[in-house]
Amino acid sequence: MPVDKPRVALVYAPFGACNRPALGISLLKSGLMRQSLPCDIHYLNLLLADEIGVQICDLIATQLPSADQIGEWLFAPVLLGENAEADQEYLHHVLWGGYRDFYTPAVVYEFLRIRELLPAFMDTCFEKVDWSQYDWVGFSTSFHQNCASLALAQRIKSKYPHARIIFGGSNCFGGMGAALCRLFPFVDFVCTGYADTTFPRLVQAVANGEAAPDIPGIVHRNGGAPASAAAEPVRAIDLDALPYPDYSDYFAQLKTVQTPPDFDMRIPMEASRGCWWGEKNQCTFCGFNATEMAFHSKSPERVLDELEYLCKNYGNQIFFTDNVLAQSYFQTLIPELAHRPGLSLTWEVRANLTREQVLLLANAGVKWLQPGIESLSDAVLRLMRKGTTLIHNIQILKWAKQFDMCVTWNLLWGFPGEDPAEYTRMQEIIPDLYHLDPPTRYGHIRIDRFSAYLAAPTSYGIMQLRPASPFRTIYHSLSEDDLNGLAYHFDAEYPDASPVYAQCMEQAIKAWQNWCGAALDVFPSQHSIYILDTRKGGARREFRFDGLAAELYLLCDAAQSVQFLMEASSICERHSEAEVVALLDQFVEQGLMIRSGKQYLSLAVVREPSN
Amino acid sequence: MATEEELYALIGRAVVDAEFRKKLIADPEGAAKEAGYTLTEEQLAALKSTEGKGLAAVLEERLPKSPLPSPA
Repeated sequence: MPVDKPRVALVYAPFGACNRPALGISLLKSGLMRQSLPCDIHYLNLLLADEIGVQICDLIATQLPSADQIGEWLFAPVLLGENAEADQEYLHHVLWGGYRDFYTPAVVYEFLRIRELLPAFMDTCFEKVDWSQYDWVGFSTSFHQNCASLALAQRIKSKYPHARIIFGGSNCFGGMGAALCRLFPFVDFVCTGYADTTFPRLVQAVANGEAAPDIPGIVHRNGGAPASAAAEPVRAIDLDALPYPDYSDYFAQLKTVQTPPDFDMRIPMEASRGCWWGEKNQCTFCGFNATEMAFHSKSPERVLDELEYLCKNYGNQIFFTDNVLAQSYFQTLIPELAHRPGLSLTWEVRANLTREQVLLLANAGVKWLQPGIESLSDAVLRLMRKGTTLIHNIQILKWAKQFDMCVTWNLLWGFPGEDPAEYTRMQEIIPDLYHLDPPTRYGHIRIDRFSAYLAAPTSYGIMQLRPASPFRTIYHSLSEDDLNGLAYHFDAEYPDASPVYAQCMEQAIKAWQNWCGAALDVFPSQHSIYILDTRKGGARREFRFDGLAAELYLLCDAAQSVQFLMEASSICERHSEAEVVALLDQFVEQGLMIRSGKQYLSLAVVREPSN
Repeated sequence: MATEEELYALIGRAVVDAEFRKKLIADPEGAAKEAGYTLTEEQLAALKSTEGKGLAAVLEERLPKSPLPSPA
């Protein structure tokens, strides 16, 4: 029967991050409101945070390894009931399989205490909101949000069968969405791609009397079994045509939660979707599907307007959700942002930026930079098709330091086909980099759905692909085929050299992380440079270089080849190539430069000229 | 005094045995004793150190130094 004004509830369940509003459903709310369709967002993650603490909720949501699915394991009994055998397997293969010293008995004991609270918490979620008023209840699910979302959806559908249940978010992309609709009969619709335009269209179509309209990317349950999506989800939408996200529900509900003094809240904003690098050359480990990869960006004018709106209404700590900064913004948006003081921006970038581009970002108010570094080996970077080099990676770390930006980055290993000797070389380089930001996270790669490893496993020597152990134990009642449909992470067998070097890499990185405050600075003056080095064991080393040596060191602030240096008139007219090479090699010997292939790169951070 | 391995065994049992878990949560010392382990003051304090907001503090302290795999 047609409904005049359908009411929509959107739910953000535990364990979604508490320190930021959810962008996707906040855009959907605005999209619905544009069509005069009322919508409320319920941040049930904040409700749980109020009960067990926002810190632990955010740790589970964003800090603990997403592949372990701890949030899902905690909520699994609420959805699927307890299963001692599966829990034992989870404990021994996941928690204590790799991280016995991290997940100590005391930590697991507290996980169990939280787990015991969750059935009552789910009752609270069900009772605290009047779900009967809604014609639609939508769940946004990424990472650890499936089990809590499904458990609540099941209760709502059971008590209020008139409510249409719809799921969306990255856990529903591609075939995972179809599997979710097939496996959980209380789920009526699933958005398997971007829902910005299709969800409001669906709500309107159903309100007009269509039972199950065919809309691209939306899987629906038509009577018994779910029908497949009418067409693939749209790959690109006009981002400028989207409304601004409405974060009002988040801020209203956040008031009920006790937050710590260092609560690091950032406002999500998107300037683009997709990855312009991945469109051409997907990194082997990247888990984006074709829809997520297609790159499209907002106009600079639109970004500026939206930024102003968000800052005015919610604060100036802006976290760009872009997978990678649009290259064209360096000519348009980024210089313009320099005229808007007071911004504090976080942005993900390619690592191969020039010094000028890093400076532009710093002037634009970028305080946190997330470059896709991933490795300190050219051979490994080639293997993962990253399109960057060791030199690029060190340059961006150095220039970010120079311009007072914090860098968050990952160092990964375990790539099929890699040579363990590359990791020995990395361990040799690392002490020379103690003055730069160490990797924020490090460890073995995952094999994710949509990655090249899953699409063409034999090309990488990968065999016995299967849903990762946490999925098998959390969804203990599902068959192998069903798990294959639902899982995002996979286990596999391949000649993996990492056990040989992983422990040494961990030690090298821990030493780096613990080595706070080390400096390697270069202070240029008119004809000389002064270098201060405190990287080695706290000892202070000082160097002064004049003439050609000083000139070469500053020229190699961006990596240079000898050939390039010899083309500089100031050098080639007065000095021989042998002289130049001897000085460069001496810098390398002293740990003040590195040589990679034919290029030399100065490692010291350039500081203001000394008097 | 329970050894470290016995502590792991104690928690391992709580994971798979719902009745024992409830007892352990209500009374760690008593439930451990009933299971044949005597927890020292230090071990009891360690268990309680993660209670409530303590868990976040304990994990946060370990995180930067821990070999956790990275989400790519």
